[in-house]
Amino acid sequence: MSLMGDTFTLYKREMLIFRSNLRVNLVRSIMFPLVIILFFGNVGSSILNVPIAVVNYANNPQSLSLIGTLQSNNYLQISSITDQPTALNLLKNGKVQLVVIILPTFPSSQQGVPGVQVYYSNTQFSVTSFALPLISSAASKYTNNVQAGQPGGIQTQQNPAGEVSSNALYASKGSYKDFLVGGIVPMVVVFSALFGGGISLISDRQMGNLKAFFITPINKNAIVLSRILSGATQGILFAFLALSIGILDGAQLAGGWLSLVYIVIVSVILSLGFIAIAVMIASKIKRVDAYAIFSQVVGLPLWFISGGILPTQSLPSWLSAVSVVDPLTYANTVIRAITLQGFIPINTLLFNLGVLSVFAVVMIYMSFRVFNSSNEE
Amino acid sequence: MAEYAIEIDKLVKKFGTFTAVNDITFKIKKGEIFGLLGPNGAGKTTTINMILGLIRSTSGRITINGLDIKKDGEKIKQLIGLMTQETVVEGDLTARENLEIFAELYHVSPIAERDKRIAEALKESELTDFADKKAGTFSGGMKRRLELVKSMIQHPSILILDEPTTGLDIQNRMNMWKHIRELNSIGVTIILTTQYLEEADTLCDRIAIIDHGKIKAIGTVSELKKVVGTGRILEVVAEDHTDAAAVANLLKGIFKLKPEMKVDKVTALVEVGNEEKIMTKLLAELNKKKIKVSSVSLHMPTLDDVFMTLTGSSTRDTTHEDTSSRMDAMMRGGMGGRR
Repeated sequence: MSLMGDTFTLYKREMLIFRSNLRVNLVRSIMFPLVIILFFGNVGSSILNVPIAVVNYANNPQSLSLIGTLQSNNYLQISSITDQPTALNLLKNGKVQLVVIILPTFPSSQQGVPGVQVYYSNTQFSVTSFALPLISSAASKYTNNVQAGQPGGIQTQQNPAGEVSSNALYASKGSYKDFLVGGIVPMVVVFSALFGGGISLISDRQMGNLKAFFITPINKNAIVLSRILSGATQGILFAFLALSIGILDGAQLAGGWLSLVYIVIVSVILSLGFIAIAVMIASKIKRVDAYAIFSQVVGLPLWFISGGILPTQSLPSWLSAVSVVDPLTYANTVIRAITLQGFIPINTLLFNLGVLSVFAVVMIYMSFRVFNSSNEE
Repeated sequence: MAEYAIEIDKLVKKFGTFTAVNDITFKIKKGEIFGLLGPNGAGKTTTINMILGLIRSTSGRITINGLDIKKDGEKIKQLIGLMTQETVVEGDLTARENLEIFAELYHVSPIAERDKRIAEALKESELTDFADKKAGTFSGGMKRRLELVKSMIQHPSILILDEPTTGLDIQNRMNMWKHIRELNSIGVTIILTTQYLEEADTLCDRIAIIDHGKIKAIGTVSELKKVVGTGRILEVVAEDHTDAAAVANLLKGIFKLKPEMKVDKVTALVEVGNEEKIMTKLLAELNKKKIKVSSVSLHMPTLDDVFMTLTGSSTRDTTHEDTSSRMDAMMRGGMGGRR
């Protein structure tokens, strides 16, 4: 029969039920992001292994020693020593967060003539709060050495203003809160999908509603499809609520209104895929309590390794390899880039959205199969 | 037009090695109220689920209004309504929304027709004044009424009622019986499963008793009662249940009867013509043995006796204890009219 018509009828049913419990649904959905953003967003947090690129124009013993110092630091990871255009390109594509350019003037002791220039993209909150001060203090040591060799030196400042000049190329304010709010959105979408989609399906089976649908002359896929669509609608609503909480608490979106467009696109694809997963789990697990535990077990690790609360670079290497198969990683990449960097290269965008779309389509197809096979004898 | 609403021919359903429905054949005439009785696990629900197209038969044929269920599944779904023992109205939706969703799922169109049917349904169920209230706030009886009109929204010619009165108080049950009769009087064929045997006795034109996936007997109520025999049922209830065995021995020893014992109650079938003599002698014997009884009675076989005879508790006790104890509960329900 008509799949779209039946889907619409059941979609209407789901949304009417949702509206009927609107207050409970909204409160339930904002509790988690509220706690996470307000609490974790407002405590300090540090990150290891910010990837940087180095351009060495000075090429003298002092500059090589500076590179050695930066290398030995746990907070920074030099991923490339290269020329300036390549380094800036790496920065643009998000391969590194920061480019350190050691100018020919290094080590400079003159006021107003910097020895080191830093370009950074603040996609990781830790750049401004950790990386910049680290580079500053490392570089200033050489200045002090120079100063020591010059009796009656001009500068007595501990941290000479002229040593490091930094330029934010792509950046929001770069606080952990900005970082966290971007990561909250996919989490809210995934959890609302896993909880809402699956539990309503199980309770519909227990109440006999599914049986009542099956004896009507509808297309069975409409039952799954309507649930996926209504879940996606609710997921986006919840994502916006979480985002609003973050913005009210002072987080900034570097991409402005464009951020919202990208967030909606990513949220829609992500929730389609995850409700499909919820439908599959709920087709196999017949009890609400068992389902609740199972969905937590699936959802929480995915969120954790996706870079939702900590950058993937800070994960142990084996775990960051696992994050490659986590669809949330791709969602986070897009959302992070647009909310923190305010910019995302088109090939990066297409690749990530492509991976997410394939994931969603495969999951939806499988959910039809699993749901239908679990209701046949 | 086909003469029969439902024709079931050599129907078999196996779940793995377990045969739930074992080669059953019966026909339900148009306009009948047909009762399907049997202990839990007998195969009633499996049979009904196959008629509804929820599960596929292993072999055999189901024909509904002359249409084969395997070929015309979609058409057949429009012909059958179902009301189950669980109330499946959606509590978060209003009465009107509940009806609207199902009218649309049954593709009732155009919208004017849909709205007309909803208005009728609300009127029939006396819920017009509560149309826009959430069904979750309704009383049990109101929910059942809504459920019934919801099952009828597509105007089916066959209505399957799976324990429609379970958990209803006596007023609501009488009310439900009235509705069932009304529906039947406008030509709807009704299939009823129930655990209240007196309900089947009052409502059904014909009854099939099903056990272990087989039809044990089928016919009108009076035809079925003949299965038990032409005799009368003698029933002795001991005042102290420890005396029940003594009563049973008495009936076995002196009167050469085949008594069946249930805690404090002993029943036995007595030949017609003999009953008065046995009664007098039994009272004398009881007196002599100083066995105190709270009642001794003699009655025509009821549907309970038919059920008991056909589904047999003695064989069941040894093999399927769980099923038989559930059946006991069912029997008590049948006799007392409540669980």
